[in-house]
Amino acid sequence: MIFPVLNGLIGWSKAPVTWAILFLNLVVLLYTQNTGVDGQARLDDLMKKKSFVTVQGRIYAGYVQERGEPEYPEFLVDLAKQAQRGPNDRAEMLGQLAFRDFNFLNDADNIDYKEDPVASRMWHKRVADLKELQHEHPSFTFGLSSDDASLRKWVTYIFVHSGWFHFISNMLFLVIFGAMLEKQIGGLGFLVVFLLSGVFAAGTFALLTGMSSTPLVGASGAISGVMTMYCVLNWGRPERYFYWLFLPFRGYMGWIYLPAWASLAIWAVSDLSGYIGTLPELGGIAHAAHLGGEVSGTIMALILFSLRKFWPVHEVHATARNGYQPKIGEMIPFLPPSHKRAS
Amino acid sequence: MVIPDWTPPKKPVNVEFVPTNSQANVGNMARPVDRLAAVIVDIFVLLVPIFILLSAPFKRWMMASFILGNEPDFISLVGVMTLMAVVLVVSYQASFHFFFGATLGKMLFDLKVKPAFGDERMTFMSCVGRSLVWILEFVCLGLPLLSVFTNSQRRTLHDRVSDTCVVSMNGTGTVAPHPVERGLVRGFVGSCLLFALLVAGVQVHQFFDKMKLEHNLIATFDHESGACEVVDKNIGDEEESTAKPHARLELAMSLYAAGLAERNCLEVELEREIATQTPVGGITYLAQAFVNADDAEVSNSYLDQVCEDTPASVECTMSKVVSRWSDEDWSAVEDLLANATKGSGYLEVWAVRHHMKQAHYQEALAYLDELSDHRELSEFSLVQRVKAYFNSYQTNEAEAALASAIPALPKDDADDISAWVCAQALQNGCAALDKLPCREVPAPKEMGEIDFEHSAVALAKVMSLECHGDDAVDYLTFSQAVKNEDWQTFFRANLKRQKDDLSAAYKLFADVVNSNTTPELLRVEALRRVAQFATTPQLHALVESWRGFESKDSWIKGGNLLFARLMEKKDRDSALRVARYLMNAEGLSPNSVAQLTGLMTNEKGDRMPASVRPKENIHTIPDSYEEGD
Repeated sequence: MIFPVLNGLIGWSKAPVTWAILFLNLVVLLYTQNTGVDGQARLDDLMKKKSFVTVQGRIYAGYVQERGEPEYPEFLVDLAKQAQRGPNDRAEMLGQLAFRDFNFLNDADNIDYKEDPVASRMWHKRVADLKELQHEHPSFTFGLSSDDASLRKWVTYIFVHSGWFHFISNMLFLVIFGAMLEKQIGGLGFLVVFLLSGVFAAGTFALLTGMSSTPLVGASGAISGVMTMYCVLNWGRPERYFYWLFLPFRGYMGWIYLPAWASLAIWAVSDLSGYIGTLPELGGIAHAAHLGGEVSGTIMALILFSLRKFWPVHEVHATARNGYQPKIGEMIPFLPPSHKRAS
Repeated sequence: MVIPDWTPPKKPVNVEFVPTNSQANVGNMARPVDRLAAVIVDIFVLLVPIFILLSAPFKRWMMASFILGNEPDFISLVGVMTLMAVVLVVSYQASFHFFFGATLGKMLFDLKVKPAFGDERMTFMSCVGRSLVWILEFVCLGLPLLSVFTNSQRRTLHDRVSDTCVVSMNGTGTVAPHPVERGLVRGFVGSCLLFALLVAGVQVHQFFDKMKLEHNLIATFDHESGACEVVDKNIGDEEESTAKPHARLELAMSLYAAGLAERNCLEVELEREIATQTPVGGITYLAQAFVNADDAEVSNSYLDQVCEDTPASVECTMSKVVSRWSDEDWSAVEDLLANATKGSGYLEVWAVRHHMKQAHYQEALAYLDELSDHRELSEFSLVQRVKAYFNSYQTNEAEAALASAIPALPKDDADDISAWVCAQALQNGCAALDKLPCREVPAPKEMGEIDFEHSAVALAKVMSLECHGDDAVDYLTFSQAVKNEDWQTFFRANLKRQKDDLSAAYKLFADVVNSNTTPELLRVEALRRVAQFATTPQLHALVESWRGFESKDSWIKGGNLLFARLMEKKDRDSALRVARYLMNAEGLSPNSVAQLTGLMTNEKGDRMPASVRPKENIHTIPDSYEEGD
């Protein structure tokens, strides 16, 4: 396990904007968690109804096959062929994917399932229920989806998280990298970078993956931009990472100093492989948005280099205890191996 | 003549292998933990990220083939990705070992791979071989790698194959393994191998057990194909079934109604109709209503649709029956069934179920006659016929029906119905042990033979044991061993009764009688037992409990038991009250009728009191009687 720690936790007085963003995210999360619980439960309940999802799959199969490629990817067209006259599990799978297709759900009123009028009637009723529930749901109110891509949502989506795990994992990186970057380029500069990265990330997501009915939420795109900018600005500087080699012996847990670009390389590899390796129809982590954030962070760092006469970048040194200046590749175990301790 | 020398050549005595490389001397060997740390760094920091990136396009393709169920593509892609992983590991390790003598992980921990003999540089092929063996060792769950703890030079298999050794360059190496260390690791490896052998043996045994019978073999593959076996078995003439578009679905409906097929069968048959583009009909909607029974809104919509499309059909009647049934409007159900066109199979099954539920056994028997042409429903008919005869006090007919049912039914079903009859016959005395039903359910030799999940069989076996004497059943052991709470209470109640603690016994028996989870047969038996010693006020309390019985069958049996007991206690008013309820529901047994007639004639010409006189509408069920599913 290896995790960037840099200079550790920086207090709110030295990085007020970072902490303000974190606080705002927390407030929004508490608000959405409290107001959205009931709606989320009803939405989950509806989307898990086998009868609804299976019929939706059969209807969507006809819809996809009618349009075919290139409007729909080959994989989805093949699945539609299987689902139209195949077993229920195929139809159910396709039915789940149909929830992400805004055009299909938007056209629901004009789609008929002649093979089974009862199923058709019930499906129309439940799609209407679904839309109503989504309309009230905070993720849909603030999140960016093909349903509503108005200008304000390109910013509001950054401050909404789907749950505590999503929130904590994003905020951890925000306080580590955001605070450092804020110290370097100032609060205003940091805010501009954060917001612009968020917008750019959403744009990249829309371009590469395409907007869906499922809303895009979370600050990860914006944080990717912040992290990338920090790494580019401090390219070769030794940064502190925590490592643990999963060995229950002395000497295999501690700090290691690696260049800043190492973090960028790990994220870029992870996001690039995630983007290439997943089917966008299945949803999940928005790797394209992360990649967008990374590109925007790089661009903004390069712009800042050219403008550094007008907008200074302060040096922030990564130091170990007692002012010791570490070198790249240096390992400082928490408890040194016994043979080293003895010497 | 030359006599050949047959003496064996002398063995070299304890020639120990010692590497000649100066750096591989004792004290310079790399510590196993450092080697492990280097492997972790190599794998998780370098190889895994690179592999994830390189294999990403294949992963996407693999995911698509998995979802589409395209097995050949999926297997090929797994093969390609495995090959890619092997090539990546081998090229990384071999090139780093050849050019630098260490991988990046080893460099981090100051380790170096050196030739074990001489100071010549390793060849590239030896590096490749070393890496390939290293992969093989991983495939064997890493067990061969543990030889680093047993080899005197701490050389693992891949070291020995490539004539190399790993040395520490910073003077923090280790010495040869201690004999205890060797022993422990060898013991661990041996245990692992033994365990693996055992697991493999069990797996092979299970596989052959599964495949032993041809029947099971077919069942295994049928299950995988998703077909409904029961329908396939009973469909009969294939041509006939093809001519009638919904033949399979209708059959599935009948079997499902009779409890001979799972709901999944209906689902499979509906899928088949979708696949064959069979036009939707009333039966399709009806089947959909059952398949979607968990979603009331959808299920009701399908039921409504049946009559919209085909108002005069059997399917429409059936849908109305289902709706009225769920509303518990029993008279409407009866009217609908009486006026329905017969011959569908599933409607007759529902009619039988309805009449059995309402204790209208003669009507049930009439419908069972209608089902005689439906050979696929014979198991259902045979069982229900025995029950109908027995509950309507036609003992001889019940025994005859049971005698013909036993050879025709699967063993479990035959045991169940025999036990059901036996348990109730034993209520009248142990003489029933010699009769057919109880002969089919022999008394167990030990308690472990009783399966309390099958309440009828369990009760019959317990009662058979009790017939062998008062001490034949150790109620204490039974109550401690059985897991089901109702059975536990039942045995504890019997124990208290055995010890003449009648007050405690009454409370425990009453708990069994009042419990919602008690099997009906056990409930009636508990009521019978407690009624034998209950005081008059306790009997009155039992009457109140009895009025809440949900199953009409149990209600009638319990009512007659209470009536007989109240008559014995000469509690005339209470007995007449119970009799009135039973008469209104046509539930008086012939014995009770005889007792009641005797009571009436002893009244010296008095007219029957108004409270006992049967109502004009004999079908009216008293308000206090609550019917349920």
